[in-house]
Amino acid sequence: MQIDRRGLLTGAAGLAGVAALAGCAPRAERTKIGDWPTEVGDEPVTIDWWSANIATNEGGDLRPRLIEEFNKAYPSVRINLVAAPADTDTNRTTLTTQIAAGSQSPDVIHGDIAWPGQFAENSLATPLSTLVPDDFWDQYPEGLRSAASVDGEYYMFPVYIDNSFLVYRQDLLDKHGFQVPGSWEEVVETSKALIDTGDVDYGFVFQGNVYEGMTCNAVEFVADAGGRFTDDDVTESTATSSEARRGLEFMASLVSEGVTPRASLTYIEQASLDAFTTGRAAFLRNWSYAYDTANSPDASSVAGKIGIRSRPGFDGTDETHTTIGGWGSYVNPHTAHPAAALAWARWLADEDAQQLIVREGGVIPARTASLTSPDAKAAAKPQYEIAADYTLVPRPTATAFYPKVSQGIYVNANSIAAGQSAVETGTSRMQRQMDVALAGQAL
Amino acid sequence: MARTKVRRGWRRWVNVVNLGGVLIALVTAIPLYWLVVSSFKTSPEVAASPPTIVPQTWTLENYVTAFVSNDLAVYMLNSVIVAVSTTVLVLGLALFAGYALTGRKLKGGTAIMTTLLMLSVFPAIAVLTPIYLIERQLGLLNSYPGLIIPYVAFNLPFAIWIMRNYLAGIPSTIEEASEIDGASPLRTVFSVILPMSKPGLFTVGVFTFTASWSEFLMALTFNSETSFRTIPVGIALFGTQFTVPYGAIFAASVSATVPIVLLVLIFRRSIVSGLTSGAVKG
Amino acid sequence: MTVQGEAKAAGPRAGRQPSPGAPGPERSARTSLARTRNRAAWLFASPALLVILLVTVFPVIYSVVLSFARVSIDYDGFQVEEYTLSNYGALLQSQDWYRALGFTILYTVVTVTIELVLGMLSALVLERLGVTRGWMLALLLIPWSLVTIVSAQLWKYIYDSTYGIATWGIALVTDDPPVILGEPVSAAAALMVADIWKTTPFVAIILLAGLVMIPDEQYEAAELDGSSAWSTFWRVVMPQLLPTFTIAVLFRVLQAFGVFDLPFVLTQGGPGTSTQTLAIMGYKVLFQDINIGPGAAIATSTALIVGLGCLLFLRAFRNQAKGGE
Repeated sequence: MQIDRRGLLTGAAGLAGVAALAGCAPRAERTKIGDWPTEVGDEPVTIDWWSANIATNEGGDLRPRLIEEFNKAYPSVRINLVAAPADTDTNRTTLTTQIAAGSQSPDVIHGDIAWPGQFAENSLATPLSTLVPDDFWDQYPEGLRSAASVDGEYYMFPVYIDNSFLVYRQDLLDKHGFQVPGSWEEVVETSKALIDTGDVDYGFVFQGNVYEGMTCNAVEFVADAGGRFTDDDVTESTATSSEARRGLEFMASLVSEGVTPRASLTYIEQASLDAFTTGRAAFLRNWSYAYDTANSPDASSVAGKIGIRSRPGFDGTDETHTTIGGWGSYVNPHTAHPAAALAWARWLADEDAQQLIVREGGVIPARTASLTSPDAKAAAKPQYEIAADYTLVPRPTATAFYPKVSQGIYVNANSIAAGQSAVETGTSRMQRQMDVALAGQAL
Repeated sequence: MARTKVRRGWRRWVNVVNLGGVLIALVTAIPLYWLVVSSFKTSPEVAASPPTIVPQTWTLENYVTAFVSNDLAVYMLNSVIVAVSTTVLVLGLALFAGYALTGRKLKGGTAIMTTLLMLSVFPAIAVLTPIYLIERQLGLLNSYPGLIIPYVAFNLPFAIWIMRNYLAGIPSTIEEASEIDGASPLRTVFSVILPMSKPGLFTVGVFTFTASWSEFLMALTFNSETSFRTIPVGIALFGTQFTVPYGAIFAASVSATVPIVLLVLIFRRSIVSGLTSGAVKG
Repeated sequence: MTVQGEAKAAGPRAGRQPSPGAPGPERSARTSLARTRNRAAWLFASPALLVILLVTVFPVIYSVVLSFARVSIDYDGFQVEEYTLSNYGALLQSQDWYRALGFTILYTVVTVTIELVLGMLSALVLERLGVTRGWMLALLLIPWSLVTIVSAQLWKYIYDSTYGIATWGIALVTDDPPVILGEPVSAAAALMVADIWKTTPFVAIILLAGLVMIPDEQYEAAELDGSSAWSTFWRVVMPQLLPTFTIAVLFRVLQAFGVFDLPFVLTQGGPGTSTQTLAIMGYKVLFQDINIGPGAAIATSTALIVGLGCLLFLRAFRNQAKGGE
C-alpha cells in the first residue's frame, strides 16, 4: 500500500518533470558578431522574413517577386514570408517581444527606418558594419545613412524610402475650373469650394490618429513653417518655437475650418486612403503606394481621375517637405541561419533588388544610383520625379528613446488638431514630455 | 418553480416579463448575428456604408483567406494543444487538491480556500514580467510548456474551489466505508471519489478549456512567434501593414468560437452549477 | 454547507477531550487515521499548491524586487544594473500613471455597477420566464463564451468611423457621423458598453441561481403583508441574495481592474492615453518601450492595489458568510 502510493506519486512527479524539461531544451548558441559567417552554402536552408506588404506599382504585392529574383542568385535559401501586423506600433511591439525573448525567428525583419535607436539600445538587431565592406554604405544618401546607424554603427540595410505626396482629384479640378493648388493656402481655398459644390464630403485628409503616422504629418507641417521639433543633436525639444507652433496651428485650422473632417484624426493609412478611393475626399496626403493604389481600377473607384504632386509649402516658400519614411532589413541577432539571413538582408539593399523595385515597385528605392538609372527614367513614375526635388526632413529618431519622444509629439499634436488644447498649452506640454523622454525619464 | 404568474387575456403575451425577455434576447443576439453575417460578406460589402443587414452576396472567401493566407490552422492547433494539456493537468491536480480540502483533513483549509478564491482573479499583468524573464532564462518562451505551466497555475485556484465545493457534497460515510475496507487514500480517490465527481470534473473541464482558449495577455507576450501563437493572438494581430481585413477576421473568429460555443451549450448545466457553486454552497 | 458548518456538525466529537491515562487502542487508531488522512491530504494538495506558489506567489515577489532595479537587456538576456528607487519616482511623477489609475478605477466602478443592475433585472426577468428560460440561458451563455478578443474585434467593427453600424445608426439621428473611438469620452463609453454586453449575462446567471433558491413561502408571506414589488425586493430578495451578490461583485471588480484584451484591440489605450488602463500601460512600458524596471513598478503597484482590495472584500465577505449562516 505504502509503496503503491509513493510509487505512483513519484511516477507522476517524474512525468511532470519530464514534460516541463521538454521545453527546456538548451537554446542554440547565439552567433557572436566576430564569428558571423558570410558565405552561403549549398545545403537548403529556410529563413523567416517578417515583412508587411511592399506595394507594386499596381497596388499589388512585390514581396513574391523579390523572393523569386533572390532565388536566382541564391537557390539554396528558401524565404518564408511572415505577415506583420497592421499598426506600425503593434508591429514593433510584437517584434521586440519576440526578439527580446531570444527567439530565433524571424531571421530577417523588414522594419521602419525609425527603429535603429531603440533596437541598438536594447540589443534587438545585429550590428552590420563589420559584415560588409566599408564602402557598401556609400550607395545611399546621407539622410538614410545617418538614420540607419547609431553612433557610427549600422543596424539596418536600407531597402526603400517612402516619401509622402499630395494626391488629388484631377477630374473635379477640371470640372470646376480650378488650378492644381500651389500652396497650402490654395489647398484650403480649393477644398472649401469643392465641398460647397457637393462633389466631395471632405477637402483634405491625412493620418491624424494618435500614432506614429501623426508624428510624420506633424514633422512635415512644422518643416513647412520652417521649424523642427528638436535641436540637431536630438537632445532638446524645440516644440514651443514659433515655427513649430505655426505648423501645428495650421494643422488645427484645417479641422476647425472644416477643410479636414474630424474623422481624419482617427485615420491611419488605410482609412485615409479609403476616404479618397471611395470618392469622399478631394485631397489626400499619403505615402507613395497610395497613388498607385488609388489609380488602380481594382482597388479604387477614382482610378484614372487623379493627379499627384509634392506636398505644397506655405505661400511664399519654395521648398517642399516630406518626412523620411523608410524601410529596411534588420538581422535578428539570435538567428539560427546567420549567413543566409545576412545574404537576404543585404541583397534587398543591393543593386538587383533595387532595380526590381524601380521597375515594378510602388516605392522609391533607397539606392541613389537606382533612382537615377535608365530603368528609373523608363518607369516614368511621377513619384521619382517629384522625389528629386523634395527636401527630406528626418523625424527625431536619433535617440534610444524615440518611441516615447514620438508619443509626446503625436499625443499632443492630435490634441491640438482636435481643438482640445490651445496651441500654446499643447506645445508647452509637448516640449515638456519630449524633454522628459529624451532624458530617458519617461514612463 | 411557482414564480410564474398566471396572466389572463392580452397580458398573457404582452407583459413586462415577456417584453423584458425579448429585449434581453435582442440585445444579446444582434451583435452575434452581426459577427456571423459579416464573416460571409465580400470585402467591399464589409466596408460598405451604409451597412447591409443581409449580405447581398454570400461568400466563403473569408474562411479560405483566414485559413490559407493567415495561418489560422497553425493558431488553432496551438490553441488546442495548450488548452487540452492545461485542462488535463488542471483536472488531475484539482481533483486531488479539492478532495484534500474537504472535511477537516487539512488544518488551515479555510484560509487556503479563501486565498485561492482571491488568486483566481489576480490580474496577470502583475506577474507577467517575472514569468517572462524567468522563462527567457529557461528557454521556455515560444514553446508549449511556456504557456501551459502558467495557465495551469492560474486556472487551478478556481478549479480547486469548484472541485472542493462539489466533493464536499459527498457524504463522509462513503469515505469512511472505503477506509474501513482498508483502502489507502489514493485508492479511495480513484475508486470511490473519482466516479462520483464526474459532474464537477465536467464543470472544471469546460471552464479551464474555455479560459485557456481565450487567454490573451500571456499568450501575446510569451508566445509571440508565429508558429506558437494561439488563436486570440492571431485574431488580434490579423492583417498586414496597411489593411485590416474584417471579413477574414470574423471568419477566423467564427471558426474559433464555434467549438467553444458548442462545448458551452452542451455542458451548460455544468457551467451554471459551477458558476453558482461558490455562492450557493457557500 | 460551509466549512464552518461542517465544523459545527462535527463539533461534539471533535470537542471531546481524551480521558486521562494512556490512550486506549480505539483512541490511537482514530488519531493515526486522522494523521494518515492529514498526511495524504497534504500530499494530494501539494502539487497543485506548489504550482500555484511557484507561478503566482514567487513571481509577485520577484516583480517587487525588479521594481527597485534598473534593468538592461542585452543579447543574452537581462542584467540588473543597480538597485534604485527611481522607478517609483518616475511612476509617481508620471501624469500617465495617475490617469491610468483613475481611469481603471472609473472603469471598474461604472462597468460593475451597471452590470449588477442590468444583471439583476435580467435575472428577475429570467426567473419568471417559464418554458423559455432554458433557451434564454443558452443564448446568454454565448457572449460569455466568446473569446474576449473576438468580442473586441466585433465591437471595433461596430464602432468603426467609416463603416461601423453604430456610427451609421447614430448618424441617422444626429446627422453628423460620430468618431466613436476617436474622442476620449465616447471611446471610454464604447469600451464600457462592449464590456457590459459581454459580461452582464455572466452576472445575470450567477444572480439567477441565487434567486432560484429563495423559498416561495417568503414571497407569499410578503404578499400577505401587503408588500409592494419594490419593497419585497429589498426586504425578501436582497438579504437572501447577499452572499451571491458579494461573490459576483468580488469576481467582477477584480476582473475589471485587470482589463486588457478589450482596450488592446479597441483603442490601444487611446485616443492618446485616455482609455489606458493600468494593465495596458504596464504592457506598453514593458514591451513597447522595453523598460523593465518602471514596468515592474507599475505591475507591483497594481498588485498592491488589488491585494488591498482583496483584503477589504475578505473582511466584508467574512462578515457576510457569518451573517448568512
